Amino acid sequence: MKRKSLGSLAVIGALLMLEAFPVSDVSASEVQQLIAAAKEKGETVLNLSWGQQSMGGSKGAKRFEALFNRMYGTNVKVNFTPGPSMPRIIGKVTQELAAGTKASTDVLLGTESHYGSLMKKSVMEPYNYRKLSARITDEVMAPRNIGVEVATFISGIVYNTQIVSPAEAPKHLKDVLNPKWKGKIASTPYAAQFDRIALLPGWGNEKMKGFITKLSNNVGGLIRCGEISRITSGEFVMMAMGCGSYAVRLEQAKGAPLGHVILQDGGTISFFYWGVPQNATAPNLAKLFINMAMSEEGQKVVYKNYATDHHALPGSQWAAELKGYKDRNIPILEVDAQYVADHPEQRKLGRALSKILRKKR
Amino acid sequence: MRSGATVQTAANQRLRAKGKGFVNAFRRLRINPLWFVVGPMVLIIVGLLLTIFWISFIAGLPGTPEAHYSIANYHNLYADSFVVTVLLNTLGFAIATTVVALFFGVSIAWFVERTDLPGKSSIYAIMSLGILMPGFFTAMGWLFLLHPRIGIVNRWIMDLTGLTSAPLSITNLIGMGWVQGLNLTALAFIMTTASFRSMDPALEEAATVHGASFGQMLRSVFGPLMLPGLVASAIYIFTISIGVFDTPAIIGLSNRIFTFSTYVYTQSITEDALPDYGVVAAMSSLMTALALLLAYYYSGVIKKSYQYQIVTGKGYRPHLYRLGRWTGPVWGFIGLYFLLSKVLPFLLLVWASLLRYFQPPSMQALAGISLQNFRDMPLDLLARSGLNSAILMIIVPTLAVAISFGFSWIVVRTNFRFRMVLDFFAFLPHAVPSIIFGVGALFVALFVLKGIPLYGSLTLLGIVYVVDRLTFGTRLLNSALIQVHHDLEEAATVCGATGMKVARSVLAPLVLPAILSGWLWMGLLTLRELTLATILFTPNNVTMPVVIWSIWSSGNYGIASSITLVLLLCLAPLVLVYWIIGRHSMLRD
Repeated sequence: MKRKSLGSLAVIGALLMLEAFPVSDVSASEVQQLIAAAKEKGETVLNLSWGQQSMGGSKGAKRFEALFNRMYGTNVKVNFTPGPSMPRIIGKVTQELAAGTKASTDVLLGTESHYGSLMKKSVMEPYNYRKLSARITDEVMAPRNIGVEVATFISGIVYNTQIVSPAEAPKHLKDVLNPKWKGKIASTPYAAQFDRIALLPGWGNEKMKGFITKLSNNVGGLIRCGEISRITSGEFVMMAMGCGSYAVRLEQAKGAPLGHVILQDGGTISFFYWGVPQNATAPNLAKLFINMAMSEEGQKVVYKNYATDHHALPGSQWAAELKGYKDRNIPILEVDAQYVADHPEQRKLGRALSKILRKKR
Repeated sequence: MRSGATVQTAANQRLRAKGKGFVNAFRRLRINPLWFVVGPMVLIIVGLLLTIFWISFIAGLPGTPEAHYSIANYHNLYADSFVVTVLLNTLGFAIATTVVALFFGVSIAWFVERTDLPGKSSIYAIMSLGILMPGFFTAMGWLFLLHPRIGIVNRWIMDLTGLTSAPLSITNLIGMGWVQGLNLTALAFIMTTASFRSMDPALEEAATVHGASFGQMLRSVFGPLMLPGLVASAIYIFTISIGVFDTPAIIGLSNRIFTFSTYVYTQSITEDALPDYGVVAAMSSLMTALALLLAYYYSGVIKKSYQYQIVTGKGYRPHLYRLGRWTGPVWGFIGLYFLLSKVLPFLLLVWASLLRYFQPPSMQALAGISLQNFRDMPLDLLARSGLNSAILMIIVPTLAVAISFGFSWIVVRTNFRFRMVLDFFAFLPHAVPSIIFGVGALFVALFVLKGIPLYGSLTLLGIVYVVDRLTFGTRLLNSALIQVHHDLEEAATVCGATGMKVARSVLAPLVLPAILSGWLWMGLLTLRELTLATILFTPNNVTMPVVIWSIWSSGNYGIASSITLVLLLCLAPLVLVYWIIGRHSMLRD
């Protein structure tokens, strides 16, 4: 009896909180249903697992937890566990599902590459997130409703501003072939982003292969995406290509002497997706969590945690940077999960490029 | 009517009688009870290895609907001409690592165990503590010292001599081997100290009486006596080097030198954006073949083990050489090792923990130091992972030592026909790269033992860690047991002691120093185990190294360094206590 009263109070509390965050009646009703379903199924803990730097890691999870409970009037505990790389976590959740075990994470973080693969598998729970908020539109939905785009990012060249002046920094991709950079440039073992640049006007897969063969002569070594501090240290003067301007902004905020340049050749916008695995322990809380992240306040937390947000959502802080590129007539191509799924040849290209880069010439 | 106590006594008597009946039955069947310890472990090892072999024939993520049988993994692997380069690099790196580790490890073990070096007990403590230093700090530290562009030493030399290019470089196979060898010196040290500690002085005295020089004794007495221990540690270190990731990833990739681990790392990233474990398993088959060869050689050494029995029932007391005027240079040598392998990484750790972003040491950087990273440590996560690590650190070495003793006793002290096969099984877990061993365990826990709640539990981590530690434990105890002469067992047997009684009352006390140091080191190795944990962890069984690595690999070097420092500080008194206990036991024996 007492439990029922407390439950009613919680629902009333949640509804009052929803009053404070104006949403449409349909959305409020759907959110209310999710809150009630979470309560009914005893979902009180939300397990999250992704890389420590992604979305602010454990510190970011605390911020999300505070906003979640404030937004829905709940007392949910966010249990964050830092995980390995995105492919490893996705592989693990896929295997857990196949074995009939609960997922290690209730919300699965991945880029368009991962969600492009996931849309062909039955790992993620299809759900119409549009019902939760007017902010979640077709534009931000993942194909087959398996998740939403929660943030966007663009990648260029990362350089050490103490060694390379902004004037010296490459303006076009061909500038990295300048002999003065020979042996001083780092790239990634997986040839990140080059397969995307190949999609831009004036490029193409064969031309990119030729370019990477030349670049391989200038590359001094290979470092992983999380190692841009090796550019800060001066071990390499620049990284071609980097893995996202957000990573540079996070380091710049600490005072690191890093610069980031989007090339005149063009830039490709990539996406971070969040979705709920079929075998999530707390699927209702997970959906509410995603809805929270897409709210205006949620996007502010996403930006605070990750120095990026979704450029297409009203109030985006990152949209201004993107507008700057467009104003400079830099061609911008959006590569989302559907695009990845429609262009399987780009994956093969990426593989071929990494094979070229690994050989010393 | 009988009273309850009488019923209880009668029941106990029946149980005892039944127990004796079982024991007698085992005796009649000539079944050594140690098989009950060793048998399940053999089954686990064989099961896991078969799983790995099976995975090597699966294309797609094992266990998922897309997975199917194929030889594509082998085809992809062996059709790639780059594999030859990778194998040659791996071989060069492993040889360089083994040479460096043995040079420092064996030398220091000799000075500690066979000389009157003053203050030598502190070396144990520092060696033990040093093993907790993550390898990636050492690798980064050496880049700051000897990198052609940012290496401080290179800059000094260039400033002094006017050279226009850096004279030294760490970014080559020798440099990588140097760094990794320094990291693994502690293991070489601990794997050879037991042999030195129990070396019979009578042989040395006999050689001295016959006028042998120190060099001749080294060649004719110490060398042969040390051979099993040396071979065991050399093979152990060599195989670690094959699979190690830190140094090849940080130093090797920075100059595009691929070794097995970094090649596997890049190969497992697929066009499908999901990890490709099949190709890793296929690569592991190569490593297993190499392990077969090494194990075959090692079994040859063990077969001649009677030549190395040096602890007899005729009384032995290791003789300590007086260093005299060599004390200073010896401490200088040991000090140099500590400076290069422990002090420099430790200073780098302190340095990184005080910086908001990673930068080489400079006055400008010094001005910006703060304690913010310590304030940013994720305390609740550390509490959760710390508890898990502490539990594993106690349970895993205890089980591993007990099981290793069972293996070693059967291999070294019995005439069991297939004892070398058993030793091979004990060696195999080490030969298979941890990443694929972890994937095999993951697969078994998820798909084979579905009804048992193993997946995501500490129990699963514990079992896999014990299997993984088995090689270390058996190498250590094989070497120690080989040196105990059969006379002692025969004497005990003549006096009516059973096999178990001999093992418990005669052999175990004699090899107690090796057991103690093995327990301690396996505890430390368990605490720092990373690769297996990253494959098998879930929110319920996450460990401290997973947290540190995750923070480090996401570029937060400062916070990762702060956590490591706190961990070292927490464990420092514990390590000292371990060694005081260990030394006390040795003195008593």
